[in-house]
Amino acid sequence: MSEWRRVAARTGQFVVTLLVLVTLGWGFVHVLPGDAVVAMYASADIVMSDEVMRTMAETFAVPDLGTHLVRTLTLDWGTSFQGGSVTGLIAAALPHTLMLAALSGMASTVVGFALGAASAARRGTPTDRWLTTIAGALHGIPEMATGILLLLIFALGLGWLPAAGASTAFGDLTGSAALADRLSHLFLPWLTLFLTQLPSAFLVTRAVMLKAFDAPFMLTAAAKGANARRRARVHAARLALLPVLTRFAVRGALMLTGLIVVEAVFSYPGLGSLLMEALAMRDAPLVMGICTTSAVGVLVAGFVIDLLCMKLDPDAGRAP
Amino acid sequence: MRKTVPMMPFGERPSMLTLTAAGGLLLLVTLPWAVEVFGWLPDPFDIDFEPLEGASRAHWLGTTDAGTDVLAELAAGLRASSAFALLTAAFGLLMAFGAGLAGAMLPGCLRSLWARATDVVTAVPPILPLIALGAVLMPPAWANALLLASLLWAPSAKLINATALAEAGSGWFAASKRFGAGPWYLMRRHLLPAVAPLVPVVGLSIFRRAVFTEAALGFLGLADPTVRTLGGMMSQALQYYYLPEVWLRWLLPPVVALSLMMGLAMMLVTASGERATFGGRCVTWSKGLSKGEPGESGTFNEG
Repeated sequence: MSEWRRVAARTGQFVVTLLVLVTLGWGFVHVLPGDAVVAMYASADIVMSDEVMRTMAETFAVPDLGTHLVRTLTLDWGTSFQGGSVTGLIAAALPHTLMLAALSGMASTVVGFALGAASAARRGTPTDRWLTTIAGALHGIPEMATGILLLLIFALGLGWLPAAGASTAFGDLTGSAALADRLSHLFLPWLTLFLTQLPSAFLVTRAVMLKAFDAPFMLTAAAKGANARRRARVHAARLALLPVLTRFAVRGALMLTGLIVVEAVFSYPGLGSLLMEALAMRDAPLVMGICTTSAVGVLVAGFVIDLLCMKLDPDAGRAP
Repeated sequence: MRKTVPMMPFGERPSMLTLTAAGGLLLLVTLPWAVEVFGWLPDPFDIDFEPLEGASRAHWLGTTDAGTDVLAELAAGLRASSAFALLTAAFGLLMAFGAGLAGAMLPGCLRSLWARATDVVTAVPPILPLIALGAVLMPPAWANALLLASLLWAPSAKLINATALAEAGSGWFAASKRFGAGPWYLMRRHLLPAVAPLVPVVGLSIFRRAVFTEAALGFLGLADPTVRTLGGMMSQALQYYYLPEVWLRWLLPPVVALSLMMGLAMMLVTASGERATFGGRCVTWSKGLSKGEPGESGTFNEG
């Protein structure tokens, strides 16, 4: 299959998956018993007149599928119970989440890849054993636990870093001081995600590289005169890059849970914290908006990584 | 020539590390139930004690702000966590093996549709439907377990499907068909033994994810309020993080318990993955595979 056909097929698959997800989200809300008004006031000591109930039920009614699809495609999820538009609230929180996810994802991939490749090249040495042991131990610890431990050590115990938020409230900082303040607030949530994602990048890289060292193409490379360093860096490492990248596509949906929890632990004002606020207020439109945005974000990330992998795959276009 | 094929997935003795991890996990799962059965600790909902009392002989980990015993809450959280994870793993195993084996029996065009359907399920972040459902309904734990399992089966089903397809493409599978073997015989004598080594891998993977998801839901305040959860304990204790004495005895125990449960499950996923690949039938059939050192593969490290 040519590269363009593969890209077209993957794009078609992405669009279909997106439509199915949005439709499932709509169907999910549609089949739930009760409605938003019941959910909000069922346990409250308020008696509303039939007219008020009817008006509220119309306001918060679930639209038909066509309207829901159009609204989703135009990023219009209606009005939050907090007052503002759902889209506006999400747009304000999204950059924080994107920055956190992108910086931690990229750093853990680059460092995990470099360490995994170095460890595989030193197979069986004390360095390799230590790195593998540390990665194995870190791999089991969930984001929630890592985040809380870092919070206790660096924010509470040592007092080196701020415990919550994205910037100092009423700090009135400008220029480099404001940047340093933002980075110091970002550091602990970033470190939490970095430490929880690093082991899988390391272990996958090391495992693929070890298998690649025994592959026939490495023997061919050696026969053609490539030295050990070139064989490791150019031939084996390129092969290991693909699974490291595709782990994001496969595990992106699961990583989202960690991201939401880390933002909640550090009160970082991204989508996770906004979701906590929305949940506390039973703000159904905002919850649905955040859930749809997150799901679409995971899909788009997987799609982009897939396209990147097609570019990097040495066998792309050569398969029968 | 085909070598002797063990009918059970485990051909060799597990390592001491694997046995220790299995023992530790078993203890974490069963001890809280023993505590409940023998009544060694007070009721986790009993609020008759002094709030925020320090560690003492009566309350080894002190009490919470509501006046409940922290150790009793920890035991209740572990019970809830393990019960939820075991239920999710049971549902998930049924779904993954059912879907994976059914996919292997489908004709080509339907198999492609099956693959796309599993892609869609894989793309759904499992936490989101649970959050959306929790925000509106606060469903019981078993309903959450069923929903979570229905969102976690897909990657495992793909693994099972690939293993079953590899078996279905083998020479002896074709020979059995030539000799007139029916679908039930083929399933019982070929496909099921081929995918059996994956039971612990898939079960433990789903168990581990369920433990984390349950803790996350509890932390976000979306778990059943009548059930004590590890995540709920953390969220509650985090409000007092500025009191060193409190976080040491109230916040740290659930953090350690959750990490231990997930870490030990991860070790067992890796070990059972290695055995499924290198210790079971696969090694006798795949001449290209060389035996690896324990922990070397990393294939199953994704958990």
